[in-house]
This record gives sequence, structure tokens and C-alpha cells, in this order.
Amino acid sequence: MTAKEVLRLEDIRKVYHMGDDIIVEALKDIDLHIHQGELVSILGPSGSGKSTLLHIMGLLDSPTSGKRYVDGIETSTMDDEEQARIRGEKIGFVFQTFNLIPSLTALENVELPLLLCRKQCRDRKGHAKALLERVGLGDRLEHLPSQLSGGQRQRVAIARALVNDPEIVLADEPTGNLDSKTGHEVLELFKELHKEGRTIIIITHDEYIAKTTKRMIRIRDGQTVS
Amino acid sequence: MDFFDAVAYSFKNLAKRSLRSWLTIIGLVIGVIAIVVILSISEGVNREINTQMSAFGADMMFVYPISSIEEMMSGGSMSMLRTSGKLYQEDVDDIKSIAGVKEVARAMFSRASLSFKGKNVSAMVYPMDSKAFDMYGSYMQVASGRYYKESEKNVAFFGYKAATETFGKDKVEVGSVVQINGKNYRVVGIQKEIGGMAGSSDDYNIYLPFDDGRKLFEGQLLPDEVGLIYVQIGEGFNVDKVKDSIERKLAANHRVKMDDLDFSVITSAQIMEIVGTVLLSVQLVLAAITLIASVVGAIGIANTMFMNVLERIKEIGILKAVGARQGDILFLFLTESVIIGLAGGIIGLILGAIVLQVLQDTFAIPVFLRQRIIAFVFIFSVGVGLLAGLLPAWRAAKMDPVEALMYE
Repeated sequence: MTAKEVLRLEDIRKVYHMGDDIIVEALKDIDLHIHQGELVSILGPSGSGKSTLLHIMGLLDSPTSGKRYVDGIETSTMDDEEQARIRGEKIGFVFQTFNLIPSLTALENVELPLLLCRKQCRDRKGHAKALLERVGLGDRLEHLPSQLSGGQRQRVAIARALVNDPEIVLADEPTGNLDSKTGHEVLELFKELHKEGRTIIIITHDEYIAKTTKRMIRIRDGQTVS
Repeated sequence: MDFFDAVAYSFKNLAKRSLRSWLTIIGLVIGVIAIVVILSISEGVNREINTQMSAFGADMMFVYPISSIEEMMSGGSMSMLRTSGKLYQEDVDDIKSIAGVKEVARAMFSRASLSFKGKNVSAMVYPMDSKAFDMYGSYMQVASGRYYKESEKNVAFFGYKAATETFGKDKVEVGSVVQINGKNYRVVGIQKEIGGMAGSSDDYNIYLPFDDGRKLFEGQLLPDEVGLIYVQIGEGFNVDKVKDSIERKLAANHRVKMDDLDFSVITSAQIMEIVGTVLLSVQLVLAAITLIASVVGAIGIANTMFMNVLERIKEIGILKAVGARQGDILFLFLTESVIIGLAGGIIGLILGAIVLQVLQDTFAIPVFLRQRIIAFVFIFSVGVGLLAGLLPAWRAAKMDPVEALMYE
């Protein structure tokens, strides 16, 4: 039985126009298939186009050309509002700098995506609380991000990424701002979540991290290399 | 994002930047206080004048001589000797005979020296036919004692403040004897306080029976001269027609042309009209002030919201990453600016009400905080919040998610 395809990129190109006649081709002919339950790392040095790829995979940006299917839905020509909806329903983000909202507690940060969901979201608090307990922060619910350590903040961010039960979790250098021990713990958490059936894509420049995943995709100069 | 979530979210953010939030709110509060106070005073004055004017009766008319400029410049009273612009007993009798005239009363006023319990003061004294009291209707009422009768001599009727304030601590009461220009006058009645704008001058009046009181100022009057004439119109008669008849009759008496009258007839409706015009122009000026106050408040909110958006670019990116649409962001930021507006409105309303109470209690300024004003303040503050927040919120909503997320 083959797992369903949650993300497919076909001939994705992304071109930036800087000034009048400078054209930067950030991504060229990217083809990528991600199946449900995969743990994939995308490895590339800075400037390789991996951030652009992340933005396109996460529907934060649209490709210049090519097709992008998320959970079988063609999304490359969607307008901002539709992309926002798909993002809210099917994508969970984990960022290098955690990107928690400083005025909200851990629990409120995790709850935030549910505030924005269009469906009637039942028991938001309970769901958010359960996830924080899952990532080992059951005793930090009412703490503000500033009262948490880096590792704890990233766990809150991971709980937030999971709260809308996304098809894909996109993690952008999730250990980049953590010491190696805490970074390792966060990686372990991703592996556990993978075992629980989550689809996780980790973008990194760190070979070591990339090697811990089953599948690794290298990207260089805007192209995938095998 | 639903309404309550947005409100809760906004409150958290406002609380986080509480000093700035409060400063912005204070900026608006000042404007709202100005609006509340100004509108309520203008409403209060308006209402009071209307009540007094209606107590006055729309059936009243006043005939008074037109003073020469030299006389006005010298600051003299109406009854000094001069060449033109006088009314006479003959005029009074003629007005009485005009169809539609129900009642006529004579009056004059002049400054006299008064003395009571060893204190000497100078005050305005009004010899006036006692029927004028009836013509004034509910505008004038007796507090204690009675009005004088026309036939009485050496009696006086005191206005409320004339009785309580003219001689300092020594209050004039019914039965008191006051010397006016050296002659003894017995006080037979005290008037109920008229109060308000009109009462501020009329409450100081001291009335005497006309014929008797007139003798006090004989040196200043020609024989048969009358200071001014009150006319009351009978029910169902056209005020303007009666006015015209009076003007024609008196013009003939005075041998003047109709377009060069040496007297003037003014109806209470005309007075109301004049007062109304003055009030309107005052209100227009006040409206301009409130407009300025609101613009300043709005700019304050807009400024704060722009700062807010600039400081929270990253947050906007995060919100977009977790699925916020443009509408959500717009709604969130607008909620925040409306909360600021509403807070300014409510606090301004409360403080404004306190200011009004103080003004009323301390300075006897008539105020009237209408429900309409309260409703206006609410609509105004929400409106200012919305308008001022619109552009910043729009900018936030339109932000590119990638740029916002990468912003440091």
C-alpha cells in the first residue's frame, strides 16, 4: 500500500526581478514528491534556494511557473486568501527563531492557529494543552515566551505547528538557534512525531541533521541534486 | 477570527504597550471631554433660553426709544434729556386703543443710590406698572410677599439677587425699609429666582410702582415721558400687523417717517430669532473646535497604530504563516484601534460629566448632557478609531508573508 502524496512540486521555477534588468533565478525545475508519513530533510548551503523552496512548499509564496499540489489540490495559481486558508488547514511551520508571539502565553501561542480556523474548532484550549503536554511542557502553559528557554520555545512552536493537525510540518532550521544538546532533543521530538505518522520536512544546512532523516534532498543553486 | 478572540488578542497587545496605549487614549480623552463639555453647555444654554423665552410668552412686544449715538457713548440712561427718541404717555394711550393690543404697561430704568442698614450702594431701579408682572407670565414669580399695587406709594419689589446680594450680608426681606435716593421704601415682596442666563441680569432688578417711582427721577425726564412700553397682544391677533399699527401710530405722533423711526418695536419672536442666530454662530465655532479636537485625537490613534504595525511586522508574518487571512489581520488591527477609540470615548465621557458637574455647581453654567450627546460620543469614538486605524490595518493586512516573516 502506498501512502498518499501530500506534496508534489512539478517544474517549479521562482524568479526574482531585482531592479530593471537583474533577474535572479532562485529555483529551477524543482520536482519533488512527499508522501504522507515521511521524514525528509532538505539540505543546502545558504543561498542555495532552500528558503525560497520552503516558502513555496508552505504556500507563503507562489512559484513563477510550475505546479504545486498540496494534499492533491493544485495551489500554484491560488490567490493570497486561498493560500492562507490551505496554509491554516494543511501546513504547520516551525522556524529557526521560534516566532512565538511575545504577548501570548505558551498555551495561547499554541491555540493561535485554531483562532484563525474557519471551521468550528471545538475545545481549543484542551487540544492546545494536550499538545503542550505531548512536547513535555504541561507545566509551562501560562508562561510567556520570554520566560521559557530556547528549547522550550521551540517545543511550543512545534506544538503550535501540530495544533491544526496539518498534512505537512515544515521546519526551517529548527535547531539553528539551539545548543547541540537541546537541538538533539528537538530532533528526537521530530523523530517521535514522525513515528506517530506525521509528515515532516526539515530544511537545514547541517549535514549531521540531514543524515538523521530517512530521506535527504540536496539543493544547490536552486536545483535539487541527487 | 471571531470577535471575542480579536478583542482578547487586542487587549493583550494593548496591555503589553500600556504606556503608549494610555498616552494615545489620553490624547483622545481630551478631545472627547472638549466635545462633551462644549455640546452639553451649548445644549444647556439653548434649552434654558428656550424655556425662559417660552415662559416669557410669544405675545409680548417692547417699544423703546432709539437713543442718539452721543447718549449711548456717554453711557447715560434712556431717560436723560435729549432731542430725539422719546416715548410719551400719549403714545401709551394710543397703543392701548389699537386693535389687538390686550395690555400695555410702562417702565423706565435708572441708576439710583440705595442705602440699607448703613450701607450705601448704587443700583438699577425699575419703576414699572405692576401689570407688567402679569404680562411677563411665568417668567416672573413671587417668592415671598406680593407684587405692589399700582396705587401704592413708597413700596418696592426686589429681584432675588437684588435682595440677597445688593447689601452684602444684610439681606433685604419683606418688610425691610430701603432708602432710594434718600426716600424710604418698604419692601412688599421678593421675586423667585429666575436664574440662568437671563436671570443673571433680571434677578438684580428692583421694581417700584411706575408713577411713584418715576418721581425719583423727575429731573431726568420730560413731563409725561415714559422710558419704555410693554405691549401684550390679544390671543388670535397677528403680531406683525399689530406691530405695524403701533409703528404707524407712533410715527405720526412723533412726526417721523416710517423709514426713520426714533423708536423701535421688537417682538419676543424677534428676540428669539436674534438669540437663536447668536447661539447658532456660537455653536458653529464650538463645532469647529470639536472638529479640531477630534482630528488631533484621530491623528494620535493613527500614529500609534502605524507604530504598532511597524513594530509587529514579524508578528503579522507569524499570523499569516499560521493561516491568518488579510481579513483577519485587518480585523485584528481595527479592533485594536476601535478599542483605543472606545476607551477614549468612555473615559472622556466620564471625565466630561465630572467637569460639567463642577461647572454647574461652581459657576452655575447651564449644562445638559443629552442622551444624544452620549450616543454621539460613542459613535464618534468608534468612528475615529475605525478611520484612524483603517490605513495602518490595511497596510498590515496587505503585507507579504515572506517579507514579514524575514523582517528583523
